[in-house]
Amino acid sequence: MRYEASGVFPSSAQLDVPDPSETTARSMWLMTLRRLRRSKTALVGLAIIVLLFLVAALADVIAPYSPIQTTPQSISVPTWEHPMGTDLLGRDVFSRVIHGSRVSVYVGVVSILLAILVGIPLGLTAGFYGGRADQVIMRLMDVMLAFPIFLLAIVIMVILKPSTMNVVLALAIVRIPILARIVRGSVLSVKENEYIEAVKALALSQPRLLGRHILPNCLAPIIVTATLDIGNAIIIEASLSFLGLGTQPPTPTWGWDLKQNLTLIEINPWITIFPGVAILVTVLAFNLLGDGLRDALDPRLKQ
Amino acid sequence: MPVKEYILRRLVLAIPTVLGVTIMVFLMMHFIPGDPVTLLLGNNYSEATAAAIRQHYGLDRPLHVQYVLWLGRLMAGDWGSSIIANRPIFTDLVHRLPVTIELIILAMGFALLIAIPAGVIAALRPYSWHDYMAMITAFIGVSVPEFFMGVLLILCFSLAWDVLPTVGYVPLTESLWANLRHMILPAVTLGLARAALLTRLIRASMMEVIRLDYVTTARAKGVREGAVILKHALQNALIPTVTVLGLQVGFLIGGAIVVETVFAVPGVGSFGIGAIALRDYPQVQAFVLLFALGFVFVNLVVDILYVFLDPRIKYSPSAH
Repeated sequence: MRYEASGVFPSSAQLDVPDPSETTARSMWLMTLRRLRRSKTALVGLAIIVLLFLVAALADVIAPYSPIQTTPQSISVPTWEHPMGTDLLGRDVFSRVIHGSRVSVYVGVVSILLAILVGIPLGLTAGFYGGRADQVIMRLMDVMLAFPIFLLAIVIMVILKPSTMNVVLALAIVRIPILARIVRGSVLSVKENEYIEAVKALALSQPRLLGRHILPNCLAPIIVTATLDIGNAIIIEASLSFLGLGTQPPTPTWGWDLKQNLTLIEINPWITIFPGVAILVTVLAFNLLGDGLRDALDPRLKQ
Repeated sequence: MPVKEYILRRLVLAIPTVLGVTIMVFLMMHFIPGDPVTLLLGNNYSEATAAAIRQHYGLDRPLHVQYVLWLGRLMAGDWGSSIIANRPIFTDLVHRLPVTIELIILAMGFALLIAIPAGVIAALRPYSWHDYMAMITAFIGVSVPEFFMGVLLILCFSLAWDVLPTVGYVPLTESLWANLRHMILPAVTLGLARAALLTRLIRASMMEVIRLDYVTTARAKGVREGAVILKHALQNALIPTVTVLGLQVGFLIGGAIVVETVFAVPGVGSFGIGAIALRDYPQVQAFVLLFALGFVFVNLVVDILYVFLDPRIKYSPSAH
């Protein structure tokens, strides 16, 4: 039996009781921010990510040359003119690395957002309502998790045909079961808390109960996983591009560039190394921030 | 719950998973745009042959009947024929699977060889320079994609310092030494990222275990420090590592696909990627199915091994 807010029992608003989630939520985020500020490694990660977003946004302005315009000056080693050298078609590798950040950042961030958008409702439904819904959702997630993630991403790319948008879709799909599982797990533990009993006694509507009281208390693991997942998504995106299953040329991507220049490694290793370093630094930044966030959001995990 | 019953239950629980995986792989072929029979026949296409092939493979029957027929053929060892090479896929897989298994085992072995000592040393002296070095290296290690790690190793050990071959493969049956020389770089490439992750995990669980009372008791009894660490603490600290071992094999399979492509190792991964490039879908399907089933199988084995490692699981009524 469920009472509506306007029903027999007065809601918290009518009773003029301050919503307890308001104050606690604000101080929790403030505390997190304060702890995060003390972690040098997390700040380094954050700084690199901010820089990366700027580079991706301003690629047209920063890049000294066109990333796709071919020139006769091919396979050059790094010079003042071309700080990272030029590839087989004479394209400036520095400009290609700068433009390549766009696909990586876009795919990494958008795919994880998409996965969160689908994974959270699935996990909430499974964890909160239990029973039939839980069974159906989690069995489906289990079958998806029975595939190695990268293999599943490859399968989806084979079905969808390679393109940037489809990489985003594939990466979102492989992350959904993982996020749904995490959300479901947190909901199950949050649900048992006494304050949820108290909130239930206030007879709030179910969306309000879920959205205001259960979900905010599940956010910590979601934020940590999502940040670390962006790093993973960028690695998978680069690996798919490397295998020719991602964004198609001539759009510059770090994975495809590395693969193309790999054939020239004996003549000019630099043009292979720079796109690789770009991937490494980007993934490292998201991992540093994710790790710092984990420590900041859940101090129990830190000694 | 007795061990026998637990194992039996775990085996029964694996059946729906295996069926789910086969259904997904089967449906995958139907999601791929284009008609498989047209693709199979290529230039030899004619209405009559197409109809005959459809009838032969039961492609004119309802989807669920097709699935059952397909499953039956799989179990009989008929994994179809590749379109390009026009030979039974099963024979190819029999030759290629051992290569991939060797690669994965070597990589896992290498990962543990690095991760156990590094994790233990880091945990014994937390926040010392040993610890920081191990953690920084591990952090960078988890952030490097396999293909870039492979490139760096090729640069170091093949081009700059000519000690190991870049690509190619020699069968184990031909020469153990030559085989290992060719497998070292791929295995190290594949193992390094895993080593990084496992180091962090072993450090964390070792730090937790070492503070427990039973370790203090062992020390108080006068057990030598080395024995306390290796016998008492490490054994329990490794249990969480075993739990994630199944998951790690999932990453190793994914990584093997990339590493085999980089180093031209003739395993199942390069077989699959080659087939994708040539749109040889029966071969793609076999590659996906084999890896997916292999992953399910490894997880099953890990779950069963786990009972023997952690006796507590037997007594827990909620174990599943």
